[in-house]
Amino acid sequence: MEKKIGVYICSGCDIDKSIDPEGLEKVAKNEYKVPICKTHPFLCSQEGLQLIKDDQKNEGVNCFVIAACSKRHHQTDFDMGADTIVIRVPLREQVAWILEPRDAEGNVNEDTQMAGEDYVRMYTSTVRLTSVPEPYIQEKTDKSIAVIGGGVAGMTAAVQAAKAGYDVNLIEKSDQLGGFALSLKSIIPSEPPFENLMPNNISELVAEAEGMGNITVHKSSTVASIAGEPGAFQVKLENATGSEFAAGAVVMASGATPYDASKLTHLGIENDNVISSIEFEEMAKNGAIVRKDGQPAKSVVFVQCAGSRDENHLPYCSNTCCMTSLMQAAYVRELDSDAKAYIVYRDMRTPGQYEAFYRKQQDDPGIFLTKGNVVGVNEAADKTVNVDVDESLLGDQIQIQADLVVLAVGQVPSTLDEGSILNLQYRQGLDMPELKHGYPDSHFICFPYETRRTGIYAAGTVRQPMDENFAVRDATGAAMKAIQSAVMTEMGQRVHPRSGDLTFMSPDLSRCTDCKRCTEECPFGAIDENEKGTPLPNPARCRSCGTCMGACPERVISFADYSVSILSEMIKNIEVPDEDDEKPRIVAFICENDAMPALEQLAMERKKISPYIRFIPLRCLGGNNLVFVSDALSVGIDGMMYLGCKYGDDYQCHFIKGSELCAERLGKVQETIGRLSLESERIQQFEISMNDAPILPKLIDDFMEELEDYGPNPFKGM
Amino acid sequence: MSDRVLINADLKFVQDVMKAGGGDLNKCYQCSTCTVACPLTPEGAPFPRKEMISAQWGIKDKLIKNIDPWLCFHCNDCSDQCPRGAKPGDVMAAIRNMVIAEVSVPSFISKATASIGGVIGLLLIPMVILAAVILGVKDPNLAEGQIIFSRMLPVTFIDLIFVPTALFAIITGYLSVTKLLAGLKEQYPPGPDGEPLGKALVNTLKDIMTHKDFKECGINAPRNIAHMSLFYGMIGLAITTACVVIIHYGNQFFGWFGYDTPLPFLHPVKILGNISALAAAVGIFLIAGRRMTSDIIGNTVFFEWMFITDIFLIIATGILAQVVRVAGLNPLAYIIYYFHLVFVFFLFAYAPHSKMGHMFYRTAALVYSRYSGRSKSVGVNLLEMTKQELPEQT
Repeated sequence: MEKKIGVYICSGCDIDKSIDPEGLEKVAKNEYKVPICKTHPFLCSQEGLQLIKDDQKNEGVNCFVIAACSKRHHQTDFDMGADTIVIRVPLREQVAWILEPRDAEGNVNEDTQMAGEDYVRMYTSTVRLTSVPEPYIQEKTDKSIAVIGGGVAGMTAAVQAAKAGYDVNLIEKSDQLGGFALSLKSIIPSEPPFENLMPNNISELVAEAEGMGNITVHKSSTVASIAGEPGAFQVKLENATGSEFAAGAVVMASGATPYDASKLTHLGIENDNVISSIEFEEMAKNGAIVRKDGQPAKSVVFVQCAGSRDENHLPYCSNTCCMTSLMQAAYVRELDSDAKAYIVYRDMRTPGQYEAFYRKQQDDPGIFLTKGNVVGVNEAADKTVNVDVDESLLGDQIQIQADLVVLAVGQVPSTLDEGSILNLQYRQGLDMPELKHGYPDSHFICFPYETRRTGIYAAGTVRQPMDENFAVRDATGAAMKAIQSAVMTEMGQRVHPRSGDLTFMSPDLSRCTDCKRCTEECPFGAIDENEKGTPLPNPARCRSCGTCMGACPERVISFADYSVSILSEMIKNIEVPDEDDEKPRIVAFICENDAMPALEQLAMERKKISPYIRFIPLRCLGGNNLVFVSDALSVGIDGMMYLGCKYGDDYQCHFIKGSELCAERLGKVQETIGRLSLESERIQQFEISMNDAPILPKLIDDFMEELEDYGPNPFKGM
Repeated sequence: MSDRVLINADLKFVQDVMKAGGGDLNKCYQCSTCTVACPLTPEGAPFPRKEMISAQWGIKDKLIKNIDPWLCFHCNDCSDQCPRGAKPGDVMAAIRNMVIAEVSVPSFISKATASIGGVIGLLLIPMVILAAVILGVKDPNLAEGQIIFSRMLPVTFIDLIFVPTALFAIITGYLSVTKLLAGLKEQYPPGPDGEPLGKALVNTLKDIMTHKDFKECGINAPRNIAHMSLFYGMIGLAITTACVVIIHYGNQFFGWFGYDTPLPFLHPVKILGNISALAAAVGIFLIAGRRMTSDIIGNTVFFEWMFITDIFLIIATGILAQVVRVAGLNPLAYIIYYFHLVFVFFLFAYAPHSKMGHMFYRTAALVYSRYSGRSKSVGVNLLEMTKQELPEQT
């Protein structure tokens, strides 16, 4: 494509109150020989857009450098159609609004003007390195959904996907659909007034799943292997017929198992009349609540958090046990109005509408509730069970006598079962990466269904502990995400969080040294390897975060409009003043997901920051290639800031590992910097969240102050 | 040997407390806002949070022998601030009702006060006794001449009926209070912070006369005026009655005054009587009216309405009897007077078994709270006090 550049400067939104557009035009025309450069007072207006479109039509401009607001605004307005390159220069947010405006006489501030001109340089320089993305279109995209697990979540996902018109393969390891819900007497209320137990309606869902024409049910089957990528997964089953089929996306709804109550010896599980909530449910389902000797149980103590929130057993809360015990207490009372149900809880957790059910049970005078720690459960000679409770609401050390004690046990995800559920034929292993306790890793705060395997969505109790009602919602969401993934793959688009992006990683394999860093570091396991270790990209698995690009020591991985050379070019086009000008220059790589919006928030509030800083956006800090450090230092940049997401256990990185990998890489480069007799503190990474706008100015000022101590970069001007 | 306290939840007792006025007690989730809101609780082991959980679990012993319900004046600041609408103030009142039912002797009377049928039975006793005596001793020409109530029932016969009745109330009241105090002593043995008995008694009476505790109430401050008005009205009527007795027998036996009842309207005792009756009327109207209309006053159960109604009827029939007597309406005046006596009998005879009993129980408990030191923030771990020895675990 023959590139013809047009630079369009907007002077609206108070931009010209800080910047002299003429100076910017001069930079574009004189330094970059841009054939067309125009300023408009309202570029996103119909008239302004027409100006650009006229040039496109009459002058053949196909590369548009829009120096106006940041790319987070007016995305569709400035979409110039197919075969065009649009580059947005964030004059408004990163210069006009956030740096000193003109003085009272109308003279521009020298530093502000320099910043404005620098941004025009930085972005205009990238045009020649940018190309129009070519979407990755598969030969044939399969849009059917494979659902693993035939419980409430799996059946719901299957039915929802089928209702939306997609073919479904539903895989169940046992010989019947229904899963754990088959064992329940009643279900927790899911409808107003949320006060009354609802009959277990699992058989209706089973009938619906089995009755739908576009659902193929594979019973007594497990997944032998899944290979490929979204839109083209090949699923092989382990069953009598060894079925094989293609899938566009996968919903993993393999469920959970109750925690093994036999481990709860500290709660007396070995006694005759101490049972788990699972056994109690079965007993109640059969219509009688009795002791082991067959005598009716007139008083039943429910022990909450039995093995849950306990470092020796399950360290987490399983979400469901409080409601389960309230429900089971209701069984006790329904069967016998003289019977007593005690619930000893650590915290009564009945979120949302479940509060109504809790209140209903609380109102029953035959249900006795207390907070407390159960410290001993012992059976007397007459088989009465004595439950010793400390720190109860009734006093420090009490004892309750019961005919039957029920231990409310939590959930263990099926990922911890022996063997792999997915059997992924991926370079990074058979299973999805887990966060904790066997639950799949994802950016769970913002995007719960997402996992670190593109096109594979976890739902139901394998994703997080939950009950049937929650699982229905969860599975519906996951089914929709799965469909979305298949459909977007067909259109050659990336899925979350860069939804709609047409670019994907493409390595120049002729220069690849098979070092495997990209295949190891890709947070999504998108890149496989051949036996030599050469990367085998799976574009439909790519999320286009650029972590591989940052990892590559040979810098051979690029995206159509995002590459090491583009980012290096931006650094090199910053005009670095001489040492005696006493105007330092800082490059700040800023994460587009959270740190950038924080900076823009600051700009909207018209707060001011240092004018010596130049921001370069990264899709994720994971895209930081160490060559940027040497590029910056060699052109005389005095310091570098990396503003990205929090990493570690409570990470906020949208690409899971990006900010962590950036920190790791920077750690490695510190030594090299030291060898050049430069202070390693000149390069620092900061964790910034979306709401950190108020702390940014001081963070930058403190960094600048620290830099002052080290003096200017000695390589300046060399 | 375990030193744990055995807790045996008593479902029946919970249901009883709910019926006695604590219907919302199960809504409590133990946040303890009530104890913070309460202007009257001592700082140590404050109420009513712990009473709420005891009531939810039906721990009867802990509630019946608990002094704290008597330190509560049902201000309802707690109920007002309760985030769950559990109405701790009403629960405390219900507990007091339960205690009265539990400690008052003979117990068949308290059982009778719980139902309309029982109350009718209790009313029939004075109706029959009074009717029988009146029919035996009344002036045969009652239908004619000036209306003088002693013509229907001579004062001597009134005293022959009411003095034993009062004695009955005093004896049963004494026995009931003794029973209450025994329980309180069990849970709150006198501690080092206690006041000497005499001082405790004087201070308590001072508190009662000034309505000191009522005055602490927040949202429900008007109760102070209502109760004070009724309280002093009743005291005034008691003094009036005493004066009338002195005038009557003084005149009859010693010829002291030279005149007998009915007294002229401008007689100081008559004035005192009428002012007191009016004060009591204002008081009972305020009490009944506020209970019927105000949201903050709390729940009023049958047991309480029975008492309020009786007081109301005594005052109403008392005032009416005088009006109708002066108006010369015969036999209406005598009929009203008859019922007046019936209602007074009802109040006297069943005082320890009805809400009237609070006069004895609360006074006794307040004296005991000063005597034992509970009034001075002395926190006592109720559970410690009720510890039972549990059998060895096998």
